[in-house]
Amino acid sequence: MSRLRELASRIRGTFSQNRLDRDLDEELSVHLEMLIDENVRRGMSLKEARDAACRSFGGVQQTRESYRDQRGLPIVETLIQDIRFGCRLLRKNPGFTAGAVFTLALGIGANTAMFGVINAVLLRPLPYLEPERLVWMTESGDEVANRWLSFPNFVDWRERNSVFESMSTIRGWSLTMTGGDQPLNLNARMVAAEYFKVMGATPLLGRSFTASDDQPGANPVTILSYGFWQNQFAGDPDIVGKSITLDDRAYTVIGVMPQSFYHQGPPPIWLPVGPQNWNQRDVRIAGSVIARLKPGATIEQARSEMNAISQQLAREHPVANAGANRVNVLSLQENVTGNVRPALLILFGAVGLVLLIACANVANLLLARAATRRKEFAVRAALGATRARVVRQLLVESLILGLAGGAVGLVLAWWSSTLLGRMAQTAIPRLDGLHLSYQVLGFSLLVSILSGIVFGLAPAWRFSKAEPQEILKDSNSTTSERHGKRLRGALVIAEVAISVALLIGAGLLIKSVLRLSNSSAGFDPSNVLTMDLKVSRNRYRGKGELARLLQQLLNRVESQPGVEVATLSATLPGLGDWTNDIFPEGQAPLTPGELINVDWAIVSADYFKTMRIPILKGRTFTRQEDSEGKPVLLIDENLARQFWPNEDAVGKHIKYDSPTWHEIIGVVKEIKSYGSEAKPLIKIYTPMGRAALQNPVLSVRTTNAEPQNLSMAIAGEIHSLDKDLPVTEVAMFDDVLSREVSPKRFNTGLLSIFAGLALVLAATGVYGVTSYAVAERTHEVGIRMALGARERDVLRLFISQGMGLVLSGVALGLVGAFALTRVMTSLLFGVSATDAMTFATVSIGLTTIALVACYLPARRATKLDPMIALRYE
Amino acid sequence: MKESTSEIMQGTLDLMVLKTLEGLGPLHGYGIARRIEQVSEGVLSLNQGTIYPALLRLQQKGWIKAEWGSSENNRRAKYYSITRAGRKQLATETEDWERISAIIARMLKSA
Repeated sequence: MSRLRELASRIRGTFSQNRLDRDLDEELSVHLEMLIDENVRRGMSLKEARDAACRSFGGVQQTRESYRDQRGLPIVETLIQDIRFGCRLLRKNPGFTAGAVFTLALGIGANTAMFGVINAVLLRPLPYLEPERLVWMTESGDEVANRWLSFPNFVDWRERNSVFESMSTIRGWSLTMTGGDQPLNLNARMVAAEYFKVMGATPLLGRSFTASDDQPGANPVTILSYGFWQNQFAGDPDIVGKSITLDDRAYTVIGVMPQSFYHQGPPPIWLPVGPQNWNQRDVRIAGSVIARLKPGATIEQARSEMNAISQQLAREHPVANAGANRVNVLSLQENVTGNVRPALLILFGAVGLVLLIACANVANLLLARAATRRKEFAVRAALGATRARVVRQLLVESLILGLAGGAVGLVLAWWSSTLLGRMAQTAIPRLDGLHLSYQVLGFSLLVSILSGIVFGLAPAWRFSKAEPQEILKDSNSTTSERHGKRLRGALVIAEVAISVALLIGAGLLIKSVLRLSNSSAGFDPSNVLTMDLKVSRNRYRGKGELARLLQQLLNRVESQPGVEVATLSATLPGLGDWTNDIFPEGQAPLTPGELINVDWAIVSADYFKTMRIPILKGRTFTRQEDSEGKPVLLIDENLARQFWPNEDAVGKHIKYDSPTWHEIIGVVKEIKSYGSEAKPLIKIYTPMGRAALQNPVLSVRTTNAEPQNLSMAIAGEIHSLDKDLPVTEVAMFDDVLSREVSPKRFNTGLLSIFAGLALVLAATGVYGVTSYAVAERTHEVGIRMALGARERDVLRLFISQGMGLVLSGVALGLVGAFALTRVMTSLLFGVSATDAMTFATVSIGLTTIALVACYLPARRATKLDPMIALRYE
Repeated sequence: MKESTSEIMQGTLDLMVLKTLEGLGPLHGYGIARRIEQVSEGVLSLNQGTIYPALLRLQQKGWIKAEWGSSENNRRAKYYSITRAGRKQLATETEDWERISAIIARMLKSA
């Protein structure tokens, strides 16, 4: 207790020095006066009295010192001295200080901004009740990494497990709401009864789904989201119990969710899955699974139990469950952020490397400057400063630099956060939480301190070792000086190596994005207008009726002026397809569980013409074949090569979906799909007439009409055919693609910025080291030139020295990049992680820039007047 | 410095200051120093200045407190007085001191 009080008093004492000093001085002088008075009273003369008083009092100054030591915290006081001294020193060298602070600010600012993103996206807990208990599950197996499950499998999962408190399926489900002014296409979520229980959410109005809503034959019910309720029903407080028309059926609204409930975007409505009566075990239609662990249960327990259940199910239903014998169990957090996690972590790593380069640069500056302060340290050491004391002083200086850099960096980060937010809006989920939180501020402080230590420690250690006699004797080149040079060289090599690795990473990403945005993907997205259609399930029954409607629709669209050709398809090229299992003619029978999985595009006849995908052999189907649902299809060249390497694939047959053989009538060139660079995909194209295409995409190649007007005209034509057929997502295909590419663009943009920073910093580092070498060897250059060395020789001297470091750095960087870019494979498209072009371009480019950075200071050396140079120092 | 005078042992100065303040009531630094010199009858050599860090230490521990007041000659001076915690501390320290000095005395005699 009294010890605590003493500490508090000492801390107070440390911060109110002046007032307390005055107090003490007064007290001491009173004491002396009393002593003198007494001595005078005893009969001494005033002078004698004063002398005697001083003797019996002892040293006033010593008393003051020991009093002060007792009063404050001596460690803190010397620290304050060091800080004052450091600040004064930094103020005296504004150029050096500004350079160092700015360099650090770039590094720390970039790191802080990036950490802000990581914090908002990856670290912030999800906004649900005990979100750590939520998991996401899909089926997986030896052939499939990740697939939906059938409803009967879900029921078995739910009933056989013992680790989950509640469990639900979830999938998107597209419906048309009619009854308002316009038909409205709704992208609903179809879930099991327990969904809201899993998510820990309760309705704002009404009730959530019960088991009786969630079974075949139940009355159709729906729950509205807050936004949908507000926008479509103006927040009608009596909405519960009313009915809405979805796909021409009446659904009763039983509840409204609160505004705060948000999962998988805010969908407009939720529907129970049970009434669909999806009782076939081989139709994987129920979706993914979301579940809440029982309190205390772990993901590992869930994983092993679910795997066991999946194996049981595979044994019980070997045909229907072919290919699946495991379960992917991910925390919901991972599921929500899984796509962006690797990219963000790579970017975070990259920005960390940028900071390392910045630190290396500042360390180099400090080393160069500390060399000029050697005398100062020698004097300190001679006066009795211990090594620790000198190291502490130097570290305090670098910490001041680090904190100043951090402060400026924070401003940069704050400014760039808004920019980042805008850049990443569509690319990255959960960025709404991006702001300068305490975590971000704390991180920034930590990074500032750490970098202060990192770049300060090496110089501090080096120069505290100086032997006073040697330096004070002013010998010009000591061993410690040579060590310093070697250290600076090593730092430059490291900087160059890191920059090379970062530049190569950025180069690979840039190349991928270029690949994505130009036509090397195998189709031509320019001048193509796309829109999503949604045909009512209940209005057009059977494939024939639907096919006739769609054919009619195509004819009407193509009759519009400005339309060159139009097509309907299930998906757009390049954005991922459906998949299907096939059996090609002439194959050995497949063993149970063996599958030939292909990408599957459902298209109308003019798809290839509209997308400008070349037909290599054979032909596309006619409109008649299409609408009659003739068993024909096209395949891509990879499929043809795989199964008929030495034969003509046209005329061969393939089975898919049904036992019917479909004739191959054409082979088309392969197209690239995003995120599928690992191996070439094999693909089939089947006519739309054979599949009931409820939600086709309409793609129209325009001549050069104004797309705005054209889309209005087309929508008008479609509505004249069926006024309740919603037309949504009207956009140019180019824009659709670029939206798809936007995460890659974000990654690429950021990594390019970081690599650019690294390049600038490394070039500055090379420049600095060469400049320093020139300054240091001025005297020597003078002698050489006086002895007849020509400009060329001097240039060669410095450039060879600088470039020696640069080339070692490049070599090291190439090795590093070779290892590093492997982790980026998932971010690349159409470029190998060891793309020779990129590696070569970066090495040559960086070497050239470094050459310039060496040349500039080296040329300065050649301009020296030998006479002046000789007198230098 | 005469050889017969003894340096004050660390910590004993605190005890003497506390005892002085307990016996004489509020006193300024000079008064405390004088009192200690008187009691020791010149055997203890005391640089009077050294009592100031000791006074501060005792204040920091909360055993004494200080107030500005006026001396008999109407000088502004800082007066120190013992606190309740100081009295308690003095009691325990006195006890400790007596016990230890008794032990040491026995030790010196028996040896």
